[in-house]
Amino acid sequence: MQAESHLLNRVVTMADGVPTLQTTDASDEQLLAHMNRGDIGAFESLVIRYQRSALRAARRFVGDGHEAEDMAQEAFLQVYRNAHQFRSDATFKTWFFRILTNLCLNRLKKKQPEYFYDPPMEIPAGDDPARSLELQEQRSAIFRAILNLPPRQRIAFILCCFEELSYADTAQCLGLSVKAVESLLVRARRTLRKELSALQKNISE
Amino acid sequence: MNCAKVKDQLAAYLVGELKAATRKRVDEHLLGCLSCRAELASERAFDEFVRGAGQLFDEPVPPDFLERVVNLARAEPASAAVDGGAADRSLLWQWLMPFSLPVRAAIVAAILLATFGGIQSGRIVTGLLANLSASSSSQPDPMAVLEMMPVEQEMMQLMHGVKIGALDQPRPRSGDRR
Repeated sequence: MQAESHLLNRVVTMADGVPTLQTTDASDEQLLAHMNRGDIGAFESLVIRYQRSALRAARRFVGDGHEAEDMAQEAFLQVYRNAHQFRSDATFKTWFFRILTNLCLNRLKKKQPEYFYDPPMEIPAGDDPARSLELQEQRSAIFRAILNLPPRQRIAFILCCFEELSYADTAQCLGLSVKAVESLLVRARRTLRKELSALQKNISE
Repeated sequence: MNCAKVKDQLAAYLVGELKAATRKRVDEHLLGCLSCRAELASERAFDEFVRGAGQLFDEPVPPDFLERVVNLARAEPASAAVDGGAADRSLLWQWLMPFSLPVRAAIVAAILLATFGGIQSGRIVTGLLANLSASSSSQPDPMAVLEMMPVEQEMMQLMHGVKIGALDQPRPRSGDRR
């Protein structure tokens, strides 16, 4: 893919058919500033940087792949529309996940959650089809249990555990105190532990 | 603190939610209790198990996702795509944040004065440049001169040697024939 931005150093390569940003000397916030000056290439770079984690978080929150795509897409478009409203008291990552979190939580107001997890891809497990199937089932069980968590516990758990946001950043995303996020995480862990202890035991054996 | 209470607190202990005093009591209990230490290790293993699953099973990115998002962004109205004024305001706001409120107010007032004071002189310069580039050798358009501010008229008079009074004729009404 040819970078359109002449303002930034970008190397975009294709990895498994997906454009991946290899190197750039610009921070997220610098890219956002370029975007505000009309550099669509800077927006493209931000999408490349965050598309995987946006799709992953949305998918784990809603379960359905198509809905997750819609939400991730809408989150990026909101970034594009509202880039000028970004304040430097947060990182771009926190701001972006706040947008995505709001979309996720608002989506539940409009539509009842679907408690399923549709396995999106085959898991490479060598040449052993039985092992591959087993891994697939384990993965489905874990993410089904996460999907069954109440929405705020679920998004807090996803952001902290999988997207590695700090408690403070997660609190900003949810508009809660750090204490409230810790409390959500404790309840989420307890529920998941109860649901998944049998599965964990089987795997350890 | 007994084992049942400690085990009940382990999730909060790992998340870091416990108050310092409670955490200290749990730590003290853990030092002397093999069973609770085993439970803590099990909790940690569970964390690793779930995190590991998250890392192992990544979600695929559709190959056309980027293109789709960028095309949709391109189709956004220009005002939404690039809000230069708002961006400037945002940058100005970020720059002003470290100053105290009175200093911020003074800076904003100075900028406003400079901006609006500059508009007047800007108009004169723009008008002169437009006239010069359009017809450097010919006389200025009388109607255009009449539209000018008095100061601009003086400037035009100096440049072209035309008396504004001579041009100061009533405008022809529609239907007038000469």
